[in-house]
Amino acid sequence: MRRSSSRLGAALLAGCAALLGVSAASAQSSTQQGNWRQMGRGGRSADERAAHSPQSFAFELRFGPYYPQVDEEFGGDGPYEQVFGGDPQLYFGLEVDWLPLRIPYVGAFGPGVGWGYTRTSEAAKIEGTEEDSAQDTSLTIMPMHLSAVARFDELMRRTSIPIVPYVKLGIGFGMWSAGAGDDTARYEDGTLARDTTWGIHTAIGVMLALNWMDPRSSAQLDESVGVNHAYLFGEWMNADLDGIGSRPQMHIGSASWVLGLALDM
Amino acid sequence: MNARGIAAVRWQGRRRLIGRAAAALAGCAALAGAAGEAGATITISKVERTGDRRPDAEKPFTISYRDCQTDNGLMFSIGLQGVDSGKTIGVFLAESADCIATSEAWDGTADDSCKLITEIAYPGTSTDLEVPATKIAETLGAQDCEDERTTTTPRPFKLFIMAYTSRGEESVDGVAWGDGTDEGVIDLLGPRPPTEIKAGIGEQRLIVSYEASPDTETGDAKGYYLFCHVQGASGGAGGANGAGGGASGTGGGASGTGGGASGTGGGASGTGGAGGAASGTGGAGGAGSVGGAGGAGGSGGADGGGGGGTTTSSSTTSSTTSTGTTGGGGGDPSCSSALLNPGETPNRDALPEGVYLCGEGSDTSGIEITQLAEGVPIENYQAYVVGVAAYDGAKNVGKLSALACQTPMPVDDFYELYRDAGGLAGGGYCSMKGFLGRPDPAALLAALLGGSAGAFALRRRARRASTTTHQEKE
Repeated sequence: MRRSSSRLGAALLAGCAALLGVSAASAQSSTQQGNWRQMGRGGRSADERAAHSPQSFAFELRFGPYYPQVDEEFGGDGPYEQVFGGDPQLYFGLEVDWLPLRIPYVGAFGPGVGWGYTRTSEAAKIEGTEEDSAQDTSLTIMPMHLSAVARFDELMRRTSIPIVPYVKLGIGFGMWSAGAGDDTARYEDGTLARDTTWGIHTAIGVMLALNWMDPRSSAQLDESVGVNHAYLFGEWMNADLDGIGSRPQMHIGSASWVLGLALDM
Repeated sequence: MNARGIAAVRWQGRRRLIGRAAAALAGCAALAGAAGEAGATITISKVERTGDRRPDAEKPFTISYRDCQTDNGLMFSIGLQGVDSGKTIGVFLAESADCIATSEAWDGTADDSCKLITEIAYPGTSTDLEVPATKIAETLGAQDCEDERTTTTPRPFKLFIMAYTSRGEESVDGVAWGDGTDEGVIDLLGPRPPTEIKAGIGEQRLIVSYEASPDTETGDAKGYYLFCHVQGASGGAGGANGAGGGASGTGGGASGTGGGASGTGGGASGTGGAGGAASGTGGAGGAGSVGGAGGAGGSGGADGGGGGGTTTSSSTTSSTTSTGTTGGGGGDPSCSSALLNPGETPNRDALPEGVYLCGEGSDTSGIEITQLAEGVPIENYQAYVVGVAAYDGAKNVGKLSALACQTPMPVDDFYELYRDAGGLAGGGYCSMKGFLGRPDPAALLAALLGGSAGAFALRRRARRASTTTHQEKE
């Protein structure tokens, strides 16, 4: 219980930090070009600063394997392994980060929301046999999160090293449903096989900026649509969706690597 | 140039003008003559179906098989302007000829490519002309609406409404109708049936798949009707015992005993007698009573033919005899039906009792049938028969495919196994038994503290911002 409450506390703190960040950003907007941004103190030339449009959002398109931790609840071998086996599901997701808060020599901070989708299905076995039926059984999961995001991009901004490490910490939330054929499954007592699960979302990753590959095109992209940088990124994502100690929630989280493309604007 | 000279030039100009006008008039007269009576026009102001407009059909003007059988024809509202009252108004049908332009095509001889549908005496400046669907079908060689062609594609035609004094006259006033896509199309044949029909096991459902109708490629097959019934559902008694085989086979003579299951709601196929050992013919399958499935043919002997199963139902009678193969063939005991006959065109408006239209759509795989009809669910451990027929844009139903039989059974789906293993989640996205319903007390406390801290921080920040703004204003 102590473990779950401490994890929840950490997540809540991260969520509050994100909210405070939003609040701070609102206040900051009036002083955006003032001391906070430390204009001229970063060592960048005025031309370089002028060459970039303002940057306060990041968008991510993410792909990766997803290992639902359903069987964790049953101590290992459980219904998920029994039906779907041990192979991962394909996960894809989207994330939008608002990064209005910039700390000099460190990076940008703000809240981010993410949504993902993954689904797996197999032929259900005829009851009491190992024979496949023609009916599919499936599990669909939509993992989501609201996190505090920190992107440490000052290294890239002040040097020519195109690397941006980042971390995310926040509240996770997942929606799941299990299908029986074309319908949502129901247990024999009539319970509908769909529900939600809460949890903690953490992630750590590294982004590789691609602007150096074609600086002219990058500059044009910035000028035309306001995209400052395009990145490839790799991330260790731990969507620990296990109910945070609350018993009747399916453990639908996953810990795995995610790859993707990101843009900041 | 003096005034007289100028006048002469003008006159010459007028003469040229008059000459040109006369030539133009002569040309117009010649054209009018070619087209018929000068100034006469025949127009179609409206075309309606004489029966239902078949709102469910993709092509409401196409004459379908059902239209033909119910004589759901076409009603033309026509206008006759400047037509001589002594003329006859006729409707001609042609598949490719232009009746107005080609007088030989409708001169009344046997080789006419324009066939007369109907004709009336001059009715006045407007009238309604009915063109029966059956007449169109007959004119195109489909007696009793039965199209004997091998292709199932729609057949375009044109109708020509003409005013004339005698058949085949050189110049005639008329109007053509038909665009060959919907207007002026007859389609009496449904698409060919799908093949490779399979019915899979599901829990209280059948999962059906098949290969698309060959007419999908031509665009004629638009979708499929699935017909189902409970195997032996009509309550007929089971087949009588089959006669033993071996009557004609050398070394035969082993009299088999037919199945002939009888009982309430039975009608299970009786199994014919076993064939003779060597070349015997399988015993005949027992005859099912009304609505019941007849017995399947008995197994043939080593080289003998299988016996024929005979079935009798309220609406259909069929008899099949299969040829035995080495080792003993026979009827098809795995899937037989007294109510659905492959190769016949099912009438979806008058299906035999016990047969249901259990599915419709354009999919060809993974089709789930969960009920025979509204309020008649598919049950586990009950055998069902499924057949599929394709339909086209005019909702013509094609012939029934081969049949598939299957018995639904309970399956182990993921959620069932999860719950059986002790999992408790579920109940819907808004169910209140998760984080909000049964929270960890410590987690609840942390959430409350965190929320309060956040709210306090926000409020403090808002106050500070307000004070700053106030000071700036001052």
